[in-house]
Amino acid sequence: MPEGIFDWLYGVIAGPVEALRAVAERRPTGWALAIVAGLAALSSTAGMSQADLGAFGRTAVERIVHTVLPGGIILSAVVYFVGIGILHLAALLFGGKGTFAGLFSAVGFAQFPAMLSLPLMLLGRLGGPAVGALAIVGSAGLSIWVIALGVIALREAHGMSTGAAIGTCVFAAIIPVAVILGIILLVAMLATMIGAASGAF
Amino acid sequence: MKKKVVVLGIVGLAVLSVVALLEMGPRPVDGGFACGRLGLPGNKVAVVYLQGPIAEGRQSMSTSATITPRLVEKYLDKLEADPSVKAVVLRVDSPGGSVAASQAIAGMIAEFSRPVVVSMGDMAASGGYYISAPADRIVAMPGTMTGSIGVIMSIVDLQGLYDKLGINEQIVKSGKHKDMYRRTLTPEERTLVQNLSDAAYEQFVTDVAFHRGMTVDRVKELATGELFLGSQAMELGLVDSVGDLDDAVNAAAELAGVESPVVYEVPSPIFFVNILDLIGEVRGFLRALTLTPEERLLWRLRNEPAPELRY
Repeated sequence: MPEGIFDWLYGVIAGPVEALRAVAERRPTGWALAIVAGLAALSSTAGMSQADLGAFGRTAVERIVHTVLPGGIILSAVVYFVGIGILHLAALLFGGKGTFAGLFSAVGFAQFPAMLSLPLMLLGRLGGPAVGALAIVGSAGLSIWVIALGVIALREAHGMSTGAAIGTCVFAAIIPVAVILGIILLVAMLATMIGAASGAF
Repeated sequence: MKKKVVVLGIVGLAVLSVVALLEMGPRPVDGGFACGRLGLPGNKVAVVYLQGPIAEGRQSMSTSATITPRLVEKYLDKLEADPSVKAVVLRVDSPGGSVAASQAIAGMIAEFSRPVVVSMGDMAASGGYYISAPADRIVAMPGTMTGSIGVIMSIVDLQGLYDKLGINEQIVKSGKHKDMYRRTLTPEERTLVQNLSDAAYEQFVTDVAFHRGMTVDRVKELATGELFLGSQAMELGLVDSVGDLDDAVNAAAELAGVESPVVYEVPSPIFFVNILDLIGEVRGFLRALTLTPEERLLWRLRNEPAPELRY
Protein backbone atom coordinates (compact mmCIF):
# COMPACT_ATOMS: atom_id res chain seq x y z
CA MET A 1 0.00 0.00 0.00
CA PRO A 2 1.37 3.47 -0.94
CA GLU A 3 2.56 5.32 2.16
CA GLY A 4 3.87 8.83 1.39
CA ILE A 5 2.63 11.97 -0.31
CA PHE A 6 4.51 11.23 -3.54
CA ASP A 7 3.30 7.61 -3.50
CA TRP A 8 -0.26 8.77 -3.09
CA LEU A 9 -0.12 11.50 -5.76
CA TYR A 10 1.63 9.22 -8.23
CA GLY A 11 -0.84 6.49 -7.36
CA VAL A 12 -3.81 8.76 -8.15
CA ILE A 13 -2.54 8.76 -11.74
CA ALA A 14 -1.08 5.28 -12.07
CA GLY A 15 -3.27 3.20 -9.76
CA PRO A 16 -6.08 5.33 -8.36
CA VAL A 17 -8.10 2.60 -6.62
CA GLU A 18 -5.32 1.51 -4.25
CA ALA A 19 -3.96 5.01 -3.78
CA LEU A 20 -7.30 6.60 -2.95
CA ARG A 21 -8.19 3.72 -0.65
CA ALA A 22 -4.88 4.27 1.19
CA VAL A 23 -5.53 8.03 1.40
CA ALA A 24 -9.03 7.41 2.78
CA GLU A 25 -7.57 5.18 5.45
CA ARG A 26 -4.62 7.42 6.40
CA ARG A 27 -6.65 10.67 6.13
CA PRO A 28 -3.96 13.26 5.28
CA THR A 29 -6.49 16.12 5.44
CA GLY A 30 -3.83 18.85 5.48
CA TRP A 31 -2.31 17.65 2.22
CA ALA A 32 -5.76 17.29 0.68
CA LEU A 33 -6.61 20.86 1.62
CA ALA A 34 -3.26 22.04 0.23
CA ILE A 35 -4.01 20.36 -3.11
CA VAL A 36 -7.49 21.89 -3.32
CA ALA A 37 -6.36 25.37 -2.25
CA GLY A 38 -3.23 25.30 -4.41
CA LEU A 39 -5.22 24.22 -7.44
CA ALA A 40 -7.78 26.97 -6.77
CA ALA A 41 -5.06 29.62 -6.42
CA LEU A 42 -3.30 28.56 -9.63
CA SER A 43 -6.56 28.30 -11.60
CA SER A 44 -7.80 31.67 -10.33
CA THR A 45 -4.49 33.33 -11.19
CA ALA A 46 -4.47 31.76 -14.65
CA GLY A 47 -8.09 32.79 -15.21
CA MET A 48 -7.40 36.36 -14.15
CA SER A 49 -4.35 36.53 -16.37
CA GLN A 50 -6.71 36.14 -19.30
CA ALA A 51 -9.16 38.76 -18.02
CA ASP A 52 -7.19 41.87 -18.91
CA LEU A 53 -5.75 42.84 -15.55
CA GLY A 54 -4.46 46.12 -16.84
CA ALA A 55 -7.98 47.53 -17.01
CA PHE A 56 -9.73 49.82 -14.59
CA GLY A 57 -6.70 51.48 -13.10
CA ARG A 58 -5.55 48.81 -10.68
CA THR A 59 -2.34 46.94 -11.07
CA ALA A 60 -2.28 43.23 -11.68
CA VAL A 61 -0.31 42.56 -8.52
CA GLU A 62 -2.91 44.36 -6.40
CA ARG A 63 -5.65 42.35 -8.02
CA ILE A 64 -3.87 39.06 -7.44
CA VAL A 65 -3.23 39.89 -3.79
CA HIS A 66 -6.71 41.25 -3.17
CA THR A 67 -8.75 38.78 -5.15
CA VAL A 68 -6.91 35.54 -5.80
CA LEU A 69 -5.54 34.94 -2.32
CA PRO A 70 -8.70 35.41 -0.26
CA GLY A 71 -11.06 34.48 -3.08
CA GLY A 72 -9.22 31.55 -4.57
CA ILE A 73 -7.78 29.98 -1.44
CA ILE A 74 -10.09 30.72 1.49
CA LEU A 75 -13.32 30.53 -0.46
CA SER A 76 -12.33 27.33 -2.22
CA ALA A 77 -11.40 25.77 1.14
CA VAL A 78 -14.76 26.76 2.63
CA VAL A 79 -16.70 25.62 -0.42
CA TYR A 80 -14.75 22.37 -0.48
CA PHE A 81 -15.43 21.77 3.23
CA VAL A 82 -19.17 22.38 2.80
CA GLY A 83 -19.31 20.37 -0.42
CA ILE A 84 -17.61 17.37 1.16
CA GLY A 85 -20.00 17.70 4.11
CA ILE A 86 -23.00 17.43 1.77
CA LEU A 87 -21.37 14.56 -0.12
CA HIS A 88 -20.62 12.76 3.14
CA LEU A 89 -24.23 13.09 4.35
CA ALA A 90 -25.50 11.90 0.99
CA ALA A 91 -23.11 8.92 1.13
CA LEU A 92 -24.43 7.97 4.58
CA LEU A 93 -27.97 8.06 3.16
CA PHE A 94 -26.85 5.71 0.40
CA GLY A 95 -25.42 3.25 2.94
CA GLY A 96 -21.82 4.51 3.10
CA LYS A 97 -19.69 3.63 6.10
CA GLY A 98 -16.72 5.98 5.80
CA THR A 99 -15.60 9.02 7.75
CA PHE A 100 -15.73 12.71 6.82
CA ALA A 101 -11.94 13.02 7.14
CA GLY A 102 -11.38 10.01 4.89
CA LEU A 103 -13.69 11.37 2.20
CA PHE A 104 -12.21 14.87 2.56
CA SER A 105 -8.72 13.46 1.97
CA ALA A 106 -9.55 11.07 -0.85
CA VAL A 107 -11.58 13.54 -2.91
CA GLY A 108 -8.89 16.20 -2.37
CA PHE A 109 -6.20 13.91 -3.74
CA ALA A 110 -8.47 12.93 -6.62
CA GLN A 111 -8.29 16.56 -7.78
CA PHE A 112 -4.54 16.35 -8.39
CA PRO A 113 -4.68 15.55 -12.14
CA ALA A 114 -6.71 18.76 -12.61
CA MET A 115 -3.31 20.50 -12.43
CA LEU A 116 -2.91 19.41 -16.05
CA SER A 117 -5.71 21.80 -17.04
CA LEU A 118 -3.24 24.67 -16.71
CA PRO A 119 -0.81 23.49 -19.40
CA LEU A 120 -3.86 22.81 -21.57
CA MET A 121 -5.02 26.37 -20.98
CA LEU A 122 -1.59 27.63 -22.03
CA LEU A 123 -1.72 25.44 -25.12
CA GLY A 124 -5.08 26.94 -26.06
CA ARG A 125 -3.72 30.45 -25.56
CA LEU A 126 -0.59 29.81 -27.63
CA GLY A 127 -2.05 27.92 -30.55
CA GLY A 128 -4.45 28.74 -33.33
CA PRO A 129 -8.04 27.56 -33.66
CA ALA A 130 -7.07 23.92 -34.29
CA VAL A 131 -4.80 23.74 -31.25
CA GLY A 132 -7.47 25.59 -29.25
CA ALA A 133 -10.04 22.97 -30.21
CA LEU A 134 -7.57 20.24 -29.22
CA ALA A 135 -7.07 21.94 -25.85
CA ILE A 136 -10.83 22.08 -25.31
CA VAL A 137 -11.17 18.37 -26.10
CA GLY A 138 -8.24 17.67 -23.76
CA SER A 139 -9.84 19.73 -20.99
CA ALA A 140 -13.12 17.88 -21.43
CA GLY A 141 -11.32 14.55 -21.20
CA LEU A 142 -9.45 15.73 -18.14
CA SER A 143 -12.69 16.81 -16.49
CA ILE A 144 -14.21 13.38 -17.09
CA TRP A 145 -11.08 11.76 -15.66
CA VAL A 146 -11.19 13.92 -12.50
CA ILE A 147 -14.91 13.24 -12.03
CA ALA A 148 -14.25 9.51 -12.38
CA LEU A 149 -11.47 9.78 -9.79
CA GLY A 150 -13.89 11.60 -7.48
CA VAL A 151 -16.36 8.73 -7.80
CA ILE A 152 -13.57 6.23 -7.06
CA ALA A 153 -12.51 8.33 -4.04
CA LEU A 154 -16.07 8.32 -2.71
CA ARG A 155 -16.45 4.60 -3.36
CA GLU A 156 -13.20 3.73 -1.59
CA ALA A 157 -13.73 6.16 1.30
CA HIS A 158 -17.24 4.87 2.05
CA GLY A 159 -16.91 1.26 0.95
CA MET A 160 -19.73 1.60 -1.57
CA SER A 161 -20.44 0.09 -4.95
CA THR A 162 -19.64 2.16 -8.03
CA GLY A 163 -23.35 2.59 -8.79
CA ALA A 164 -24.10 3.81 -5.28
CA ALA A 165 -21.17 6.23 -5.48
CA ILE A 166 -22.44 7.68 -8.77
CA GLY A 167 -25.96 7.97 -7.31
CA THR A 168 -24.54 9.73 -4.26
CA CYS A 169 -22.67 12.26 -6.42
CA VAL A 170 -25.77 13.05 -8.49
CA PHE A 171 -27.91 13.33 -5.35
CA ALA A 172 -25.36 15.56 -3.60
CA ALA A 173 -25.20 17.84 -6.65
CA ILE A 174 -28.97 18.26 -6.63
CA ILE A 175 -29.32 18.99 -2.90
CA PRO A 176 -27.94 22.57 -2.78
CA VAL A 177 -29.96 23.67 -5.80
CA ALA A 178 -33.12 22.07 -4.40
CA VAL A 179 -32.61 23.65 -0.97
CA ILE A 180 -32.10 27.16 -2.40
CA LEU A 181 -35.09 26.85 -4.75
CA GLY A 182 -37.20 25.43 -1.93
CA ILE A 183 -36.38 28.32 0.40
CA ILE A 184 -37.16 30.91 -2.28
CA LEU A 185 -40.46 29.23 -3.19
CA LEU A 186 -41.44 28.85 0.45
CA VAL A 187 -40.74 32.50 1.30
CA ALA A 188 -42.50 33.66 -1.86
CA MET A 189 -45.56 31.54 -1.11
CA LEU A 190 -45.68 32.78 2.48
CA ALA A 191 -45.40 36.36 1.29
CA THR A 192 -48.18 35.75 -1.24
CA MET A 193 -50.45 34.24 1.39
CA ILE A 194 -49.78 37.13 3.77
CA GLY A 195 -50.43 39.64 0.99
CA ALA A 196 -53.65 37.91 -0.04
CA ALA A 197 -54.82 37.68 3.57
CA SER A 198 -54.24 41.40 4.07
CA GLY A 199 -56.23 42.14 0.91
CA ALA A 200 -53.45 44.21 -0.60
CA PHE A 201 -52.68 44.09 -4.28
CA MET B 1 12.52 8.62 -7.47
CA LYS B 2 10.39 8.13 -10.58
CA LYS B 3 7.25 8.97 -8.61
CA LYS B 4 8.79 12.15 -7.25
CA VAL B 5 9.84 13.25 -10.74
CA VAL B 6 6.35 12.65 -12.17
CA VAL B 7 4.54 14.45 -9.33
CA LEU B 8 6.92 17.40 -9.16
CA GLY B 9 6.93 17.53 -12.96
CA ILE B 10 3.14 17.94 -13.04
CA VAL B 11 3.19 20.60 -10.32
CA GLY B 12 6.09 22.43 -11.99
CA LEU B 13 4.38 22.31 -15.37
CA ALA B 14 1.23 23.79 -13.85
CA VAL B 15 3.13 26.60 -12.12
CA LEU B 16 5.15 27.39 -15.24
CA SER B 17 1.96 27.48 -17.30
CA VAL B 18 0.42 30.02 -14.92
CA VAL B 19 3.57 32.16 -15.06
CA ALA B 20 3.51 32.02 -18.86
CA LEU B 21 -0.20 32.91 -18.98
CA LEU B 22 0.42 35.83 -16.62
CA GLU B 23 3.28 37.03 -18.78
CA MET B 24 1.29 36.76 -22.02
CA GLY B 25 -1.93 38.32 -20.80
CA PRO B 26 -5.25 37.96 -22.56
CA ARG B 27 -5.58 37.08 -26.20
CA PRO B 28 -5.92 40.26 -28.29
CA VAL B 29 -9.53 40.72 -29.29
CA ASP B 30 -9.12 42.20 -32.73
CA GLY B 31 -5.52 41.85 -33.83
CA GLY B 32 -2.55 43.77 -32.49
CA PHE B 33 -1.06 43.34 -29.04
CA ALA B 34 -1.26 46.68 -27.34
CA CYS B 35 -3.10 45.70 -24.20
CA GLY B 36 -3.53 43.03 -21.65
CA ARG B 37 0.03 42.43 -20.56
CA LEU B 38 0.16 42.94 -16.84
CA GLY B 39 -0.05 46.55 -15.85
CA LEU B 40 0.89 47.90 -19.25
CA PRO B 41 -1.50 50.42 -20.74
CA GLY B 42 -2.60 49.95 -24.31
CA ASN B 43 -4.51 51.80 -26.99
CA LYS B 44 -7.95 50.48 -26.39
CA VAL B 45 -11.19 51.51 -27.96
CA ALA B 46 -13.82 50.27 -25.54
CA VAL B 47 -17.14 49.07 -26.94
CA VAL B 48 -20.12 49.28 -24.61
CA TYR B 49 -23.50 47.84 -25.52
CA LEU B 50 -26.50 49.88 -24.39
CA GLN B 51 -29.61 47.96 -25.32
CA GLY B 52 -33.24 48.18 -24.30
CA PRO B 53 -35.61 50.87 -23.08
CA ILE B 54 -34.30 53.71 -20.95
CA ALA B 55 -35.55 53.82 -17.38
CA GLU B 56 -34.63 54.82 -13.89
CA GLY B 57 -33.94 52.21 -11.24
CA ARG B 58 -31.50 49.43 -10.85
CA GLN B 59 -30.99 46.25 -12.78
CA SER B 60 -32.80 43.16 -11.64
CA MET B 61 -33.76 39.89 -13.26
CA SER B 62 -36.78 41.43 -14.97
CA THR B 63 -35.05 44.66 -16.00
CA SER B 64 -31.67 43.25 -17.03
CA ALA B 65 -32.19 44.49 -20.60
CA THR B 66 -32.76 48.11 -19.60
CA ILE B 67 -30.52 51.13 -19.99
CA THR B 68 -30.38 52.94 -16.67
CA PRO B 69 -28.29 55.88 -15.49
CA ARG B 70 -26.77 53.57 -12.89
CA LEU B 71 -25.68 51.08 -15.53
CA VAL B 72 -24.14 53.78 -17.75
CA GLU B 73 -22.43 55.34 -14.74
CA LYS B 74 -20.86 51.99 -13.86
CA TYR B 75 -19.52 51.57 -17.37
CA LEU B 76 -18.24 55.12 -17.79
CA ASP B 77 -16.69 55.36 -14.32
CA LYS B 78 -14.68 52.21 -14.97
CA LEU B 79 -13.59 53.35 -18.39
CA GLU B 80 -12.72 56.82 -17.10
CA ALA B 81 -10.42 55.21 -14.53
CA ASP B 82 -8.64 53.10 -17.14
CA PRO B 83 -5.84 55.06 -18.77
CA SER B 84 -5.44 52.46 -21.50
CA VAL B 85 -8.90 53.29 -22.88
CA LYS B 86 -8.42 56.05 -25.42
CA ALA B 87 -11.95 56.25 -26.78
CA VAL B 88 -15.35 54.70 -26.28
CA VAL B 89 -17.91 53.38 -28.75
CA LEU B 90 -21.44 53.11 -27.44
CA ARG B 91 -23.51 50.62 -29.40
CA VAL B 92 -26.99 52.03 -28.84
CA ASP B 93 -30.09 50.00 -29.56
CA SER B 94 -33.02 51.61 -27.80
CA PRO B 95 -36.56 52.81 -28.49
CA GLY B 96 -36.20 55.49 -25.80
CA GLY B 97 -37.91 55.83 -22.45
CA SER B 98 -37.89 58.01 -19.37
CA VAL B 99 -37.13 61.70 -19.89
CA ALA B 100 -35.14 62.19 -16.70
CA ALA B 101 -33.14 58.98 -17.14
CA SER B 102 -32.34 59.96 -20.74
CA GLN B 103 -31.15 63.37 -19.58
CA ALA B 104 -28.98 61.85 -16.85
CA ILE B 105 -27.35 59.46 -19.32
CA ALA B 106 -26.84 62.17 -21.95
CA GLY B 107 -25.16 64.32 -19.30
CA MET B 108 -22.73 61.53 -18.40
CA ILE B 109 -21.83 60.98 -22.05
CA ALA B 110 -21.33 64.69 -22.62
CA GLU B 111 -18.98 64.91 -19.63
CA PHE B 112 -16.86 61.88 -20.53
CA SER B 113 -13.29 63.08 -20.92
CA ARG B 114 -12.32 61.02 -23.97
CA PRO B 115 -13.88 60.76 -27.42
CA VAL B 116 -17.23 59.00 -27.55
CA VAL B 117 -18.71 57.63 -30.76
CA VAL B 118 -22.21 56.22 -30.96
CA SER B 119 -22.82 53.27 -33.24
CA MET B 120 -26.55 52.86 -33.77
CA GLY B 121 -27.98 49.37 -34.02
CA ASP B 122 -31.48 48.45 -35.15
CA MET B 123 -33.07 51.42 -33.42
CA ALA B 124 -31.92 54.54 -31.66
CA ALA B 125 -35.16 56.44 -31.55
CA SER B 126 -36.48 59.20 -29.33
CA GLY B 127 -34.61 58.80 -26.01
CA GLY B 128 -32.23 56.46 -27.85
CA TYR B 129 -31.40 59.37 -30.15
CA TYR B 130 -31.35 61.84 -27.26
CA ILE B 131 -28.59 59.91 -25.43
CA SER B 132 -26.69 59.57 -28.71
CA ALA B 133 -26.73 63.28 -29.51
CA PRO B 134 -23.90 64.33 -27.10
CA ALA B 135 -21.45 61.89 -28.72
CA ASP B 136 -18.54 63.32 -30.66
CA ARG B 137 -19.69 61.38 -33.67
CA ILE B 138 -22.75 59.31 -34.57
CA VAL B 139 -22.50 56.39 -36.98
CA ALA B 140 -25.74 54.69 -38.02
CA MET B 141 -26.48 51.66 -40.13
CA PRO B 142 -28.30 52.56 -43.36
CA GLY B 143 -31.38 50.80 -42.02
CA THR B 144 -31.22 52.04 -38.44
CA MET B 145 -34.52 53.49 -37.26
CA THR B 146 -33.72 56.78 -35.60
CA GLY B 147 -35.20 60.20 -34.97
CA SER B 148 -38.68 60.09 -33.41
CA ILE B 149 -37.84 63.33 -31.66
CA GLY B 150 -40.82 64.13 -29.52
CA VAL B 151 -42.47 63.49 -26.20
CA ILE B 152 -45.28 61.15 -25.28
CA MET B 153 -47.24 60.49 -22.15
CA SER B 154 -49.99 57.94 -21.78
CA ILE B 155 -52.50 57.90 -18.97
CA VAL B 156 -54.60 54.82 -18.45
CA ASP B 157 -58.19 55.60 -17.47
CA LEU B 158 -59.20 52.66 -15.25
CA GLN B 159 -62.78 53.81 -14.70
CA GLY B 160 -64.31 51.37 -17.19
CA LEU B 161 -62.44 48.43 -15.69
CA TYR B 162 -63.47 49.48 -12.18
CA ASP B 163 -67.09 49.61 -13.32
CA LYS B 164 -66.82 46.16 -14.90
CA LEU B 165 -65.35 44.70 -11.71
CA GLY B 166 -67.82 46.54 -9.50
CA ILE B 167 -65.09 48.47 -7.73
CA ASN B 168 -66.04 51.85 -6.39
CA GLU B 169 -62.84 53.75 -5.65
CA GLN B 170 -63.37 56.49 -3.08
CA ILE B 171 -60.86 59.29 -3.31
CA VAL B 172 -60.25 61.94 -0.69
CA LYS B 173 -57.89 64.60 -1.97
CA SER B 174 -56.33 67.92 -1.12
CA GLY B 175 -55.28 69.70 -4.26
CA LYS B 176 -57.57 70.22 -7.20
CA HIS B 177 -55.71 68.03 -9.67
CA LYS B 178 -54.25 65.45 -7.31
CA ASP B 179 -56.37 62.62 -8.75
CA MET B 180 -56.20 63.71 -12.37
CA TYR B 181 -54.13 60.69 -13.43
CA ARG B 182 -56.67 58.24 -11.96
CA ARG B 183 -59.66 59.29 -14.03
CA THR B 184 -60.63 60.94 -17.30
CA LEU B 185 -58.86 64.29 -17.73
CA THR B 186 -60.91 67.49 -17.85
CA PRO B 187 -60.15 69.91 -20.71
CA GLU B 188 -58.24 72.12 -18.27
CA GLU B 189 -56.14 69.18 -17.05
CA ARG B 190 -55.46 68.08 -20.61
CA THR B 191 -54.00 71.55 -21.22
CA LEU B 192 -51.82 71.20 -18.12
CA VAL B 193 -50.44 67.87 -19.33
CA GLN B 194 -49.95 69.28 -22.81
CA ASN B 195 -47.91 72.13 -21.31
CA LEU B 196 -45.71 69.61 -19.50
CA SER B 197 -45.19 67.68 -22.70
CA ASP B 198 -44.38 70.86 -24.64
CA ALA B 199 -41.82 71.92 -22.04
CA ALA B 200 -40.09 68.53 -22.19
CA TYR B 201 -40.19 68.78 -25.99
CA GLU B 202 -38.45 72.16 -25.83
CA GLN B 203 -35.73 70.60 -23.67
CA PHE B 204 -35.32 67.78 -26.17
CA VAL B 205 -34.93 69.98 -29.23
CA THR B 206 -32.74 72.50 -27.41
CA ASP B 207 -30.36 69.80 -26.23
CA VAL B 208 -30.20 68.13 -29.64
CA ALA B 209 -29.55 71.49 -31.28
CA PHE B 210 -26.77 72.24 -28.80
CA HIS B 211 -25.02 68.89 -29.13
CA ARG B 212 -25.43 68.57 -32.89
CA GLY B 213 -24.56 72.18 -33.68
CA MET B 214 -27.91 72.82 -35.34
CA THR B 215 -30.41 75.61 -34.87
CA VAL B 216 -33.41 74.97 -32.66
CA ASP B 217 -35.70 75.82 -35.57
CA ARG B 218 -34.01 73.25 -37.78
CA VAL B 219 -34.31 70.57 -35.12
CA LYS B 220 -37.98 71.47 -34.65
CA GLU B 221 -38.57 70.93 -38.35
CA LEU B 222 -37.33 67.37 -37.86
CA ALA B 223 -38.86 66.85 -34.43
CA THR B 224 -42.28 65.66 -35.48
CA GLY B 225 -41.94 62.28 -33.85
CA GLU B 226 -41.15 60.90 -37.29
CA LEU B 227 -38.75 57.98 -37.65
CA PHE B 228 -35.91 58.20 -40.16
CA LEU B 229 -33.68 55.55 -41.65
CA GLY B 230 -29.97 55.95 -40.89
CA SER B 231 -29.25 57.03 -44.46
CA GLN B 232 -32.01 59.67 -44.30
CA ALA B 233 -30.83 60.83 -40.89
CA MET B 234 -27.37 61.44 -42.31
CA GLU B 235 -28.77 63.65 -45.05
CA LEU B 236 -30.78 65.54 -42.43
CA GLY B 237 -27.76 66.04 -40.19
CA LEU B 238 -29.00 63.92 -37.32
CA VAL B 239 -26.11 61.46 -37.71
CA ASP B 240 -22.60 61.99 -39.08
CA SER B 241 -22.06 58.94 -41.22
CA VAL B 242 -23.43 55.59 -42.24
CA GLY B 243 -21.49 52.50 -41.25
CA ASP B 244 -21.23 49.52 -38.96
CA LEU B 245 -19.57 48.95 -35.61
CA ASP B 246 -16.11 48.62 -37.18
CA ASP B 247 -16.56 52.01 -38.83
CA ALA B 248 -17.51 53.47 -35.47
CA VAL B 249 -14.39 51.94 -33.87
CA ASN B 250 -12.25 53.42 -36.63
CA ALA B 251 -13.91 56.80 -36.13
CA ALA B 252 -13.25 56.62 -32.39
CA ALA B 253 -9.61 55.67 -32.98
CA GLU B 254 -9.25 58.55 -35.39
CA LEU B 255 -10.71 61.02 -32.88
CA ALA B 256 -8.38 59.69 -30.18
CA GLY B 257 -5.35 59.71 -32.45
CA VAL B 258 -4.81 55.99 -32.05
CA GLU B 259 -3.21 54.18 -34.96
CA SER B 260 -3.60 50.51 -34.06
CA PRO B 261 -6.55 50.30 -31.73
CA VAL B 262 -7.35 47.20 -29.75
CA VAL B 263 -11.06 46.65 -29.47
CA TYR B 264 -12.07 46.01 -25.90
CA GLU B 265 -15.63 44.81 -25.50
CA VAL B 266 -16.58 45.83 -21.99
CA PRO B 267 -18.32 42.97 -20.23
CA SER B 268 -21.70 43.63 -18.65
CA PRO B 269 -21.45 44.41 -14.96
CA ILE B 270 -22.59 41.41 -12.98
CA PHE B 271 -25.62 42.27 -10.96
CA PHE B 272 -25.94 40.16 -7.87
CA VAL B 273 -29.62 39.41 -7.74
CA ASN B 274 -30.88 40.73 -4.47
CA ILE B 275 -32.64 37.87 -2.70
CA LEU B 276 -35.53 40.18 -1.80
CA ASP B 277 -35.90 41.21 -5.45
CA LEU B 278 -35.90 37.56 -6.43
CA ILE B 279 -38.52 36.71 -3.83
CA GLY B 280 -40.59 39.67 -5.00
CA GLU B 281 -40.47 38.49 -8.57
CA VAL B 282 -41.38 34.90 -7.71
CA ARG B 283 -44.14 36.22 -5.48
CA GLY B 284 -45.49 38.35 -8.31
CA PHE B 285 -45.46 35.36 -10.62
CA LEU B 286 -47.28 33.15 -8.13
CA ARG B 287 -49.82 35.85 -7.40
CA ALA B 288 -50.50 36.36 -11.10
CA LEU B 289 -51.29 32.65 -11.39
CA THR B 290 -54.06 32.90 -8.80
CA LEU B 291 -55.88 35.89 -10.33
CA THR B 292 -58.73 36.01 -12.84
CA PRO B 293 -57.90 37.72 -16.15
CA GLU B 294 -59.70 40.94 -15.07
CA GLU B 295 -57.94 40.98 -11.72
CA ARG B 296 -54.62 40.33 -13.40
CA LEU B 297 -55.19 43.25 -15.77
CA LEU B 298 -56.20 45.51 -12.91
CA TRP B 299 -53.17 44.43 -10.87
CA ARG B 300 -50.84 45.07 -13.79
CA LEU B 301 -52.34 48.47 -14.55
CA ARG B 302 -52.25 49.53 -10.93
CA ASN B 303 -48.63 48.50 -10.71
CA GLU B 304 -47.69 50.43 -13.82
CA PRO B 305 -45.29 53.24 -13.06
CA ALA B 306 -46.89 56.61 -12.39
CA PRO B 307 -47.69 58.53 -15.57
CA GLU B 308 -44.44 59.86 -16.99
CA LEU B 309 -43.27 61.83 -19.95
CA ARG B 310 -41.24 59.68 -22.28
CA TYR B 311 -38.70 60.47 -24.97
